[in-house]
Amino acid sequence: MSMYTREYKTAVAVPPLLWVTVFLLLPYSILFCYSFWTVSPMQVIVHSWTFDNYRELVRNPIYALVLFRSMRIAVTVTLLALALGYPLAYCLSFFATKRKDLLYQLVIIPLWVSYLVRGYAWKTILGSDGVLNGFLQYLHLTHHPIGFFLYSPFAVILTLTHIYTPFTFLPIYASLEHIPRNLVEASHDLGASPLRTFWRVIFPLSIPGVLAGATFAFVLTLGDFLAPLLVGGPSGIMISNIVVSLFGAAYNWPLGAAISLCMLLLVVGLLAGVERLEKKLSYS
Amino acid sequence: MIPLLSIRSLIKRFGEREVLRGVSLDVASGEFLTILGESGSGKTTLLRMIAGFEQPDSGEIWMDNERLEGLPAYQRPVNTVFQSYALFPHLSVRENVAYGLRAQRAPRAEIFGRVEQALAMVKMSEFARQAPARLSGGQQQRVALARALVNRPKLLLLDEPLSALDANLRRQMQVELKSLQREVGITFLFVTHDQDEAMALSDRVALLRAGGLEQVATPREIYNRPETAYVAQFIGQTNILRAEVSGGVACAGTIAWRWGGSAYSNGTALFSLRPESIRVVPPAETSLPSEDTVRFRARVVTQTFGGASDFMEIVCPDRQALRVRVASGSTLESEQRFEFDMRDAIAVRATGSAAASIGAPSVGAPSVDVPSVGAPSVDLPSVGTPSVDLPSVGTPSVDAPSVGTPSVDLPSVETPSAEPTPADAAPAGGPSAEVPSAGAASTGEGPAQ
Repeated sequence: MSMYTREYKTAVAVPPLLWVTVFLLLPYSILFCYSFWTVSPMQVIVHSWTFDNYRELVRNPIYALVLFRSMRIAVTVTLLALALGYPLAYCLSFFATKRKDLLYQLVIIPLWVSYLVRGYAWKTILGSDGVLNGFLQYLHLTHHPIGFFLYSPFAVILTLTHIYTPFTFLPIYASLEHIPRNLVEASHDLGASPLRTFWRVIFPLSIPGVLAGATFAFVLTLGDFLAPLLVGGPSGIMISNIVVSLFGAAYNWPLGAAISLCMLLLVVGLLAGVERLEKKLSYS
Repeated sequence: MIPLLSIRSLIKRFGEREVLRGVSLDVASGEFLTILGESGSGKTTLLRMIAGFEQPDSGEIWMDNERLEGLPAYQRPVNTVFQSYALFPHLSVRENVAYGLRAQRAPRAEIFGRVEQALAMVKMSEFARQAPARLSGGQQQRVALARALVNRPKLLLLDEPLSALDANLRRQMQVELKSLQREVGITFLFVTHDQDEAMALSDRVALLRAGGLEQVATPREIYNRPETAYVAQFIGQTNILRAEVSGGVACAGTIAWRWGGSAYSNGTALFSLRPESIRVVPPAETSLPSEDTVRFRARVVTQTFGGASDFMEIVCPDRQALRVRVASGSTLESEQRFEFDMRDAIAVRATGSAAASIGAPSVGAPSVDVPSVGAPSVDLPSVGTPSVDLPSVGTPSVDAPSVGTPSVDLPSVETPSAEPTPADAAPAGGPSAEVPSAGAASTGEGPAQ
């Protein structure tokens, strides 16, 4: 039936499978084991099987609290990134004609800039001596530096929205570019105004892109720890920061592994849900 | 009679290129008019400007005393059937058809009834719940038609709607399209590059060439009395004779005949002579030809089998090559005598003038075309031809210029012959040549299709 031989298929499939095994399955298996071990008071990892770590996650409200905050931030960032990315993609796809490529590059270029640079940039903008406060005082709108700009969930949301908007833009743009333009013409031809055409034809057909973009923004934000570290302050701590500190300074790998696995399950469950939704909503 | 649609001096440029060079055209209400042209002739652009997808650089489009150019596409009382159907993939067949009525906010109950009716009209009722992606090309075509017709537009624009279908389905859809148009009485403006299709379907054909109209006429007229060499070559096959005219005689190489056309009293003139107008003179025949018959000698180069009739390439002693259509069966060789009726040599202009605006001829009126068969174009009265002998072989017969819609009744559709064979065009002697669907097998002279 197939034009490819069995050997060829195997040869092609082995490298990626090997990659996934070595760099994903294996580490997660080790993590899985860790999550059932404990740390002795002597700061030694004890290889005895126990559910204590998971029990701790339920017992101590701090974890649920931070997880809830992280998800709230992730949802906010996702909505903001969609609100910015969709109109941008729509304008670029439908109305930019001559400068389409240039504008597209301008949206993409921030992705080339180091995450850290962008994080620090926001720090200099939002800080007490920062650009924003300086500007507001120059205009005499405020007389003292406003503190809550930096080191707050607000700063985290702002930074992450800036960083992940291109991630929502790209799939939405791709799905909009995919819409045959004669469908738009057909809609106009049948008497539908541009607004009606958008809601009845363009938006429904771009939903797969919206879902993909939203998934990117949500999952990446939920797992982010650098932005909270740079601009979050104590009130902007997210779940990944806890994982980082558990694996680092706190030296509690087992607990960190337990949180990581919970996060993994959460994300995989979400992806599976989105995938099902996407299949339901896509037409070919 | 006021035309439904009136296009006046329409000009459209894409950058430096002038796609439409001042096109003027009137379309009567209830008419089936086809815009025929090669790809790149500007026919789709013309249609898109009527629909409102393109703006003309200058010129006017009038419809029912209303100027259309200023209106956006969604406010124009026209609907389009797109080449690729453009069905909404996320909507069911029924929702696709209902789309236009919903956009116009028609009452719910009315929408349901009209959608069902439109689906029934195109025989797609049982597919109402299906997604368009699950339908075949022909079925999608029907849905696209229903989606446009359900809105009862004054004018339906069809942009090569049949070009994606295979040959058989295409013929079937042609028949259905034509009867549908009669049924609903909506004016159809149909764009195609397929001359057979244009001839079979249309009340009138507008032949577009490089952004200008060459000729607008009924299929019969455009075939029998082409105004330009291009038209003669594009619609069917023909031989273009370059003749020197002087003293009432036209002389193309070794072929000469009496010619009294005033417009070409002296100098060079072009004549179109259809392959089926040339006959082989039986070697046994010794009688003198009638005074309208032109005889010449030529050598047969090739004979190509084409079903009911064969194509022959012949070369005159002066190396002038001609194509001749003969009844299949006999294989002819070497030197032969040929003859044609001099009235079958139609004087044509070398190039078309863009002035092709014609005051909306009333559709359905006894067609004025097909008066004297084979006569040279009207403006050139033939010199004293008291010919008694009936128009000879191959010329479209004079009989019944069928009142009512020119009975274009699809001879090409009924003939089972394969598309590229010239067989469906009039074989010798047949009065079936009413609408000789131009043989598509282009050899040499014919323009690329």
